[in-house]
Amino acid sequence: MSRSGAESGARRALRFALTATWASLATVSLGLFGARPASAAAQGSGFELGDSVSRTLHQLQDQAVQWLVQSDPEHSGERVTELLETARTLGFERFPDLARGALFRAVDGARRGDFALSRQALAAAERLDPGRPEISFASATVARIEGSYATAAAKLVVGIGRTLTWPFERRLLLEGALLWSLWLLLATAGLFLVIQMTAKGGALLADIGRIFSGSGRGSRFTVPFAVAVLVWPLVLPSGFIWLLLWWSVLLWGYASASERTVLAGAWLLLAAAPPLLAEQRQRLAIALSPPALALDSLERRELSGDLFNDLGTLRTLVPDSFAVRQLAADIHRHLGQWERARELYQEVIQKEPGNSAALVDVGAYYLVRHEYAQAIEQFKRAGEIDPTSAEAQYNLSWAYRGSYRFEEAERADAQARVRDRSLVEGWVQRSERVVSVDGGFERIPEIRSQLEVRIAGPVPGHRSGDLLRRYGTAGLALGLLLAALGLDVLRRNRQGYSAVPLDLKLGSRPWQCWLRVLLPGLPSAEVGDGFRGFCAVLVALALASIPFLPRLGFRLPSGFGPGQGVAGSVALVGLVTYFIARYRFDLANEI
Amino acid sequence: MSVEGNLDLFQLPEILQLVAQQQKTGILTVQGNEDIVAISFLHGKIVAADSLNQAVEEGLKQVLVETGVLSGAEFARASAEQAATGQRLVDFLVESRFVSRTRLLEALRIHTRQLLEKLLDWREGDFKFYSGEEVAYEEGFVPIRVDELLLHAGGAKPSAPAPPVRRAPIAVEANAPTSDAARPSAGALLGFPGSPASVSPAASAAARSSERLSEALPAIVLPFPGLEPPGPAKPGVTGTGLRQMTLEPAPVPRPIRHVGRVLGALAGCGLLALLIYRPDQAVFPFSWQSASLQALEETQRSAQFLKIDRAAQTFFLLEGRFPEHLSELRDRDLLGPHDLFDVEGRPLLLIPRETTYELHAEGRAGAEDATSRSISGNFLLDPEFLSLRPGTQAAPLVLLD
Repeated sequence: MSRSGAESGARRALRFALTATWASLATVSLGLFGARPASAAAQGSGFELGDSVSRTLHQLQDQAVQWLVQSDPEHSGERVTELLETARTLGFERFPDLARGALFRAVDGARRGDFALSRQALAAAERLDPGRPEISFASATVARIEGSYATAAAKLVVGIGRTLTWPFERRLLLEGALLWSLWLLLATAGLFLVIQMTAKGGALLADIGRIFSGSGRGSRFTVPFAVAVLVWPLVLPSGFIWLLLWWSVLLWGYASASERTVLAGAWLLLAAAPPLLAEQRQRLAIALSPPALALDSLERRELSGDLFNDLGTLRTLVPDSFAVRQLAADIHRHLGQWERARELYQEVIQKEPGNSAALVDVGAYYLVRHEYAQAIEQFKRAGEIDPTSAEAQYNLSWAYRGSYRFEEAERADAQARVRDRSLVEGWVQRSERVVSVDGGFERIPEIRSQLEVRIAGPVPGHRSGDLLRRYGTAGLALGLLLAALGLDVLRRNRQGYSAVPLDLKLGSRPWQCWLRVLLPGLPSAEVGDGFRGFCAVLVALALASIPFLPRLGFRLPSGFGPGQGVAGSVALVGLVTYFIARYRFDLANEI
Repeated sequence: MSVEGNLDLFQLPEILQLVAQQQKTGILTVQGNEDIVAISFLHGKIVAADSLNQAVEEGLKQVLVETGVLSGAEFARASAEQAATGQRLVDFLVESRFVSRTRLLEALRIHTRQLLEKLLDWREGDFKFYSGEEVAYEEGFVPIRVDELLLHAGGAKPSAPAPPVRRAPIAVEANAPTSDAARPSAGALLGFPGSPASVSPAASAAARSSERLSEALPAIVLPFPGLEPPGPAKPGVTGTGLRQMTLEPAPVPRPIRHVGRVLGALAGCGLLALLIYRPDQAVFPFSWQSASLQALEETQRSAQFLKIDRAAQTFFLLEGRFPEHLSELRDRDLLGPHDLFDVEGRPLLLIPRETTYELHAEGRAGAEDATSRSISGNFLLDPEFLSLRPGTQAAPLVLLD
């Protein structure tokens, strides 16, 4: 990004902020003349935000703009501190959007040769969203531009490590790994079959030709007939896969025990893949939905730009959920919007009278308002429902103190210490007079389940179409197995097969020997070693597919990734090493 | 098809009689502790026998010298001359008029019978019979009937151990023609004259050692196409282990063999093309799974669009606009090269507007898989988000917990 571009962008953001400021000033002046609404709200978010919160968010906007337009490294740290302090007033600790912006500036600065700015921006990103994998990848990019290749490599490794520990990225990575594994195994099975045909197709054709020509002499139609028998499935819809399956059945009679195991395993995998992937799609449909992303953000205390919008979507999606109401109440409480929080908590208590966390939080509302009698009532009810609640007893002790009932306060305090001494001592040290319970946050897994039902719908598989999609391949696999066993019976009875095994070897000319090295699985097919042949194809295909992993899995949402160059290099080095090892340790005697 | 067992269960005379009675054609291998003997049967009669420890040359020499047909010196000269020509010894002896073919066949028959008589003394070992349609044998050889052999052997003899391993390497002639190269012969199994290859030095070394013969067997049998090396079973062979053997494979006619390979190669190219251009079809290959395939691609698209959206919003945050092209995001490392293409490999297009952008694959504008994103609702980007209502005089926030 050019400096002028950055500044113009920042100016535009500043213009937005100024517009909002103007709007707020205008509303203040208008308010002098009109009645104040019960609850001012940020527009369009779908999540009620009061004036105080809006002002705080506005303040954050300003601070972000100031941080983005300033270029003095000394003041950058101060701006970031101000940003984080303001965010903490809302109960948040991370700024993923601004961290990404900082990384953008860091890489841009490095490209312009301004490495001081880069380092400052990277440090800011680390403070704004500590531990984010993108920060390491961007650091690697900056180090590479700077010419520090060892540092770049080290940062890449750190980035990969962070990706594995970052919940959302890790989830996508694991789901992608499942998809890639299935793809790899099925693709390997297909190639394994093709190699079996390359090695044994001659024998199969000879036997088919012999059946065609009977015991007499062959005719000029023998080979075309045999080929037609082999390739007829190509006329079917999805003909190519039917062709491979047809071959797998025909080649069963020529396969060794290990090769048959591989073939049966491939059929089983073909049957297992659809239900596995259907489950996965359901999981990911939820994980990638804006409400689920908002839940992730809340769990990590991230204040992303879209958070309130996505929370509004969540409430719209599951309007009847009391878990969502309790979560919303918790968020309002964190934002300081106690009145709205109380309304929601009371709705929850009305539906769930045994919800001790909501009772504690309603009691906390009354305690904040110095309405001690009502607070005591709520805390006592919470204590009866959940006798292990230290929060209920601790708050009760302060409510008694507010009512000058010191003896009861002492008893409640002692009870709280019995429940959890260290927790209570922590509250005392931090001078916390009112403690609340994040019961809504604790119900996030329950909310995810409700989202699952709402987004993914009822469990599929009951309609005939679903059954066919899910289990059609299982029936097919069973049919293939039965057909193969039938052919095996024929083989045992010496019907249709040559009595003497047919020569399957490729030959021993130099190019044929090299072909054995370069075509993994071929030498094993010649000697009937199925497992070895399958593994040989698997390793080669796995290495070759590394550069295509983004297409074979699910893209991770982080920018500044390790890059295609790394994937290509790993694949190339891996393949060269594999084929050298194949030649040196396995097949050198055949060359 | 094969029959196998050990000599504890069946004595050799019983086995031989069984084969004779059923008029089987095939090869019976008998493996003792220190030697292996292969007997070729044609319609229940013995037409050849070979031992790992005694080459046919040695047996012939012994018989020809004992019967006075040739002296030891004459045989040695013949053997040396034959080695230079590369012919089979039996052919060379006849063609060089050292001995008539009739006498040679008689000598071969005597040698075969002597070998079998020794074999009848074995009380320990394993046998395996490989049934076939044809076996190779010396043309003109008068078959030995099993009852004739048993009568000549003169009844039961005291049990004796299997003969010791011959210490000298096994001499083998290469490229020796047989009456039918395609037929398996007992000699081919053990590497004697008429076999298509020679015994490897590894085999000889192993045989010279005191190790069990079965340990040497893999190295001995490896060079012979008719014998299967240790390892997994091959078609037409039952059982596993070192003693697995099979009949020599019959050649497949070259045109058919080539057609099979061409079919395999074409299918391989087709499969690789499919894996490269439509990789997802490997997991949902059938036409009835098209809905599942679309759903999978939709999920992949969601993940990809989430990544692009985050990159575009970051760009907007810094530049105050959306990028003109996706390549701008790639150039800033916010996206990778793969992200510029959709899950089906089509180039993606980003159409920026003031506060929104549209994203779709080339030629798919307005399609279901197209998406439109906006800054609306993003408190960092959307100027409308924080427009306050009239009368706001909010108190400062107090962080309570």
